[in-house]
Amino acid sequence: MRPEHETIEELLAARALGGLETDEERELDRLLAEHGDCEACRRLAREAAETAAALALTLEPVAPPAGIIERILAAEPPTTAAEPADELTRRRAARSAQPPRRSSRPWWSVGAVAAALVALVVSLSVAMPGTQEIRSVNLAQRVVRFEGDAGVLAMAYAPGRPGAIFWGHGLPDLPAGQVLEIWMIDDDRPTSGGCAVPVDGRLALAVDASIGTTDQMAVTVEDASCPDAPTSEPVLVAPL
Amino acid sequence: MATRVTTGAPAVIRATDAHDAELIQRVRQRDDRAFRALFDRHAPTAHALALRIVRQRQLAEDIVQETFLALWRSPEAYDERRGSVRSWLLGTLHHRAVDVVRREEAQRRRHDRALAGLDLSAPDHAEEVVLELARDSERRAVRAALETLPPEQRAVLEWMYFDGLTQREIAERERLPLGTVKSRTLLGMRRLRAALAEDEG
Ligand SMILES: [Zn+2]
Repeated sequence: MRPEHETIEELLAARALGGLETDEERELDRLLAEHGDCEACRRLAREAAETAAALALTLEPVAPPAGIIERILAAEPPTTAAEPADELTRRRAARSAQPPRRSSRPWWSVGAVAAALVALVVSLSVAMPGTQEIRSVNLAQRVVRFEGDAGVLAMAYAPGRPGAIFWGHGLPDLPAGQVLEIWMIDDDRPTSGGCAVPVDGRLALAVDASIGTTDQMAVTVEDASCPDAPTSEPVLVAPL
Repeated sequence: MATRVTTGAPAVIRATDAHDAELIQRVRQRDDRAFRALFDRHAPTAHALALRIVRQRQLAEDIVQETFLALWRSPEAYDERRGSVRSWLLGTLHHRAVDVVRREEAQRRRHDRALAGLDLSAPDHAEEVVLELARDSERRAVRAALETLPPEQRAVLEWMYFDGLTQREIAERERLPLGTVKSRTLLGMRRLRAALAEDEG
């Protein structure tokens, strides 16, 4: 590392915190320009920025008024990125104009989907006032990410307390009549944590099951009957 | 079965950073849902920071709006080589807020205003609930890391970051040599970074 990097680090640290005066800012810019495309400088800048930003996390977050996002989105869009955007918007609009794919599935599959969605809404409405409820168990919560090739799935729960929240995206598009079943494996004995069907690859689900003594979580693809024991290899697993 | 356990906050922090980068990509393609997701995720912290620095509700809201409007208008301004989306957003907001404070400061001393009555964020998607949980454990980790700093280093960082004071102003106000303030800044930042990294590793 070049000797000036110590000076640069000092100035970058102060700048990330907003602590430089104009002449010091200029001094820093001059040094950085001298170094040009310097990976060490970039790393120091990155570290200073991340560390300073961490300070903001010590504050209790405060929700901004809802109007802000609407005002931003209502503002004139930029002209530069308009081309690909229009294309995308069109494609997205075209997609959402199509009838939902599952309408072509047999009635029992629709039933399965509906059941999963009802379970989702009901348990979430229990969990969501849950802002309070969940906040109160925060101190003990754990977040676990499942591993596997079937998309991203995370689970949050408080050890020793019933209930877990699952959230996923990029999950597989299941053939008609199939569901994802969540398993809690305790001493090689799987217990079903419930079944769900991802919508557009996304899944949000709260279950009442207790994760307390479970040593592994797994997800398999099962038929819509949501069997009591897994019939296939897991597509996602999370050792606890 | 060959699996890798990823539990606790750090893994999730990295996951959320990766998700942010993905969202920015979509914002560049003018995907307003991705923009809303970024807003939902970062605006409450950004808003808290703006309030802490400018201590005026309307000003703080304006600063949050300007910061996110800039993101919506020119997402290509974000350069992933310079760090996470969050540090970029918070850094931009911090800069604006400190500018405002310094301008205001010239005219009159600002004073604390009651912030009571502001709602705490209430996530309204399950995704947000999970990320909120992840962020809560991250917040605890950051607070714990900050606790490991010697009080004089921590004070200097907080005076700069939250009160918008420069190193020179701190030196004058606290009757300290400027060199002392500078070294406390550097040592404090190094130590905080190390504590955060340790928590992650
Ligand atoms: Zn360099």
